[in-house]
Amino acid sequence: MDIFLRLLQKANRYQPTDIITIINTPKEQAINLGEMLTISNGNEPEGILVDQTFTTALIQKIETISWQKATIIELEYNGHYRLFWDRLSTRPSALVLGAGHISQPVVEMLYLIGYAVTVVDDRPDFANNISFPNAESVICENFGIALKEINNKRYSAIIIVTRGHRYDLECLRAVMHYPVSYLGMIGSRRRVNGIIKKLTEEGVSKEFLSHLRAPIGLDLGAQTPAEIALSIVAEVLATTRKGTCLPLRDIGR
Amino acid sequence: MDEIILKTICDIKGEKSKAVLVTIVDTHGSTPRKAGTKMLVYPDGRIVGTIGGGCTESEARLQALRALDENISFTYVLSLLDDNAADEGMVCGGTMEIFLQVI
Repeated sequence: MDIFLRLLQKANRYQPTDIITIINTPKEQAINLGEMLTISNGNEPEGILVDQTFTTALIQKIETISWQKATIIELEYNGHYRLFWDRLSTRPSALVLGAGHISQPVVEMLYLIGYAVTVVDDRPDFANNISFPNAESVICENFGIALKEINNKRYSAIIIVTRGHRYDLECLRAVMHYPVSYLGMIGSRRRVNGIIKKLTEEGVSKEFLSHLRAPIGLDLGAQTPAEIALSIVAEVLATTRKGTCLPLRDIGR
Repeated sequence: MDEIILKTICDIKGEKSKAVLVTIVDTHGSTPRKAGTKMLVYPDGRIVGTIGGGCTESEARLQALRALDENISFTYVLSLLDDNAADEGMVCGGTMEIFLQVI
């Protein structure tokens, strides 16, 4: 099977994969340019670079280096070779709980920055594909039931924006142990403080509560649903890309 | 490498057509996109994805068409130094190395 087709299948299965491509060779070995090797977690490497000895040497070499970012690796083998070490990047997934006025622009903006978004709400008038044309999936179901059936390892961001604080709290309890990098819940400072106090009394760890983004979003002075959505999605992005949230003008002066 | 570019490549191969996968493999100084960023160039010059736009992208596109014509994959260094600034003896941008891969 073609290597790109295999990579596409791995991407669809969210399978972390290293991709190594030969980008420079000694002149007489130009035939090897563009050869690719893929290594998926826990599987045998697929593909051959130059020959078996070269491939083995390359695999041994990258096992000694910890991945930081896509980079060039150099190898001597009867001449100088340069290889590009890349990784399969799967589309990040977000779970948006609540399908109301803020949810709609949140989902749209998450879609624009490359997220596959799942939306959950129990109201058929809101949780439907017409309201969310760009969502990956829309689940019209009671929150508790929907969250029991969801694959909790899939999401890197969860945004709780239901129609009521009772539902917000129910959702928060259900997703508390999901391994997400971003977890945010809407609510005024007063409401949020009340919820945090309640959860603290119930024995929820301080560490978890400090991780929770509530009130949700960055301080952009947002007023309308779309403006609030922008401040939420900006916070999601800053968390995943490790941004400072400061104006670029004020950084590095 | 993401699923959108992979899907496009698989579609091209399914049609028994050709294209050039352009990947930024190294950058120095200030560049719009970082190593790993990819775009595809079709034989008619159409582009899917972006490595930052502007005149360096169009230079990359020309090199991609050369790769297709000669049916060879190669690396190429693009300079993002502003011409006027360079004339003044100032350097305000960086450089990036791309790999042009005929697929």
